[in-house]
Amino acid sequence: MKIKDGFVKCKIGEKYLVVTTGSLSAENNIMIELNETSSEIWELISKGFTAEEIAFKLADKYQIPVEKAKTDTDLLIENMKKAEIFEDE
Amino acid sequence: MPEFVIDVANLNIAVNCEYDFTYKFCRDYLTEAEPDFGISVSPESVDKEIDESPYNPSRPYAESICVYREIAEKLPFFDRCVFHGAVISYDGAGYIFTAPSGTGKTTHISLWQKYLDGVEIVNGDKPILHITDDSVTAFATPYAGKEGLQNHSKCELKGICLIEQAKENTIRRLETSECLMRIMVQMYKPYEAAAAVKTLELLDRLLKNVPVYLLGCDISQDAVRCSFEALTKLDFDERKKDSEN
Repeated sequence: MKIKDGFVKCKIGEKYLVVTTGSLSAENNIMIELNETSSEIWELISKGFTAEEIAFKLADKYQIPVEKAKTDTDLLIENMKKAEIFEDE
Repeated sequence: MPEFVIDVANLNIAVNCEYDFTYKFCRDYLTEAEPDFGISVSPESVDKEIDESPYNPSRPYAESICVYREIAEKLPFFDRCVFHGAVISYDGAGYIFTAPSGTGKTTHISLWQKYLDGVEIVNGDKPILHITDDSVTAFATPYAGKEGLQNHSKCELKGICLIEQAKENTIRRLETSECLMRIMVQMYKPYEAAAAVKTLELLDRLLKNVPVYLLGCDISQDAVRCSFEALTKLDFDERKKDSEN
């Protein structure tokens, strides 16, 4: 899964805001609000990690069960797919 | 049309365009000073503006919109951004009222003028904000809405008020997490990614420096009392005009 080019992300207060830029705005002009964990997952996806790898990293960092981390990761990825954030592969 | 320079938001901007409409439109802002940066508008941009507009504008008018868009693209690199809202000043402090078009920003600020003395309209539609680490200044611009309300001045911004029409007049302060998207949609979002990132950083700084309120209001005197007291922390009854017009 590859995030389309043209998204930029910035921390605003305690949350993160993602907006589209350039030609992506014409195709899919959206704005997304992320919390700390979702922002981390977004960063890991953009670095090329798979959902499983991300879940293990989160489980390790936050000392939570891998199943919970996987559920959270899968949920965000599902929402990102619905919002057409990924390139077609 | 020869190049001309305008002084907007304490920046001198060189403008290159085809028609003299923008030159005349910006007559209060012309300057002989050396430009800080320049912009130009291509005929293709004007074509695109006309194609995408629901209003079938003339070429000169469409070009003036393109001029402001080109300026807005560059402003974030100077810690500034175009903001959609009506700015008024009262007692030396500036307040922005913002909402989707048609909700009642202009009505609400005209009510402030009706019930209070000393209310100045700084800019009725698209002011420029200069956002530093510890202060925000709102500047008048030639782009001041269909009523053309602006007075070529500036003020220190002390509050932002989101307006919603409502049966009862209520106001509450919003946390950053509650309003970041609602404020972001009122800021000009640049096409270029680097400028867009800068704009988000300016949004963060803006929300750290200026309180945001959500006002639900009708068009009565009580609506003014509600927003006035929350924004200024002053007593409305002590400040209002003695007799209504």
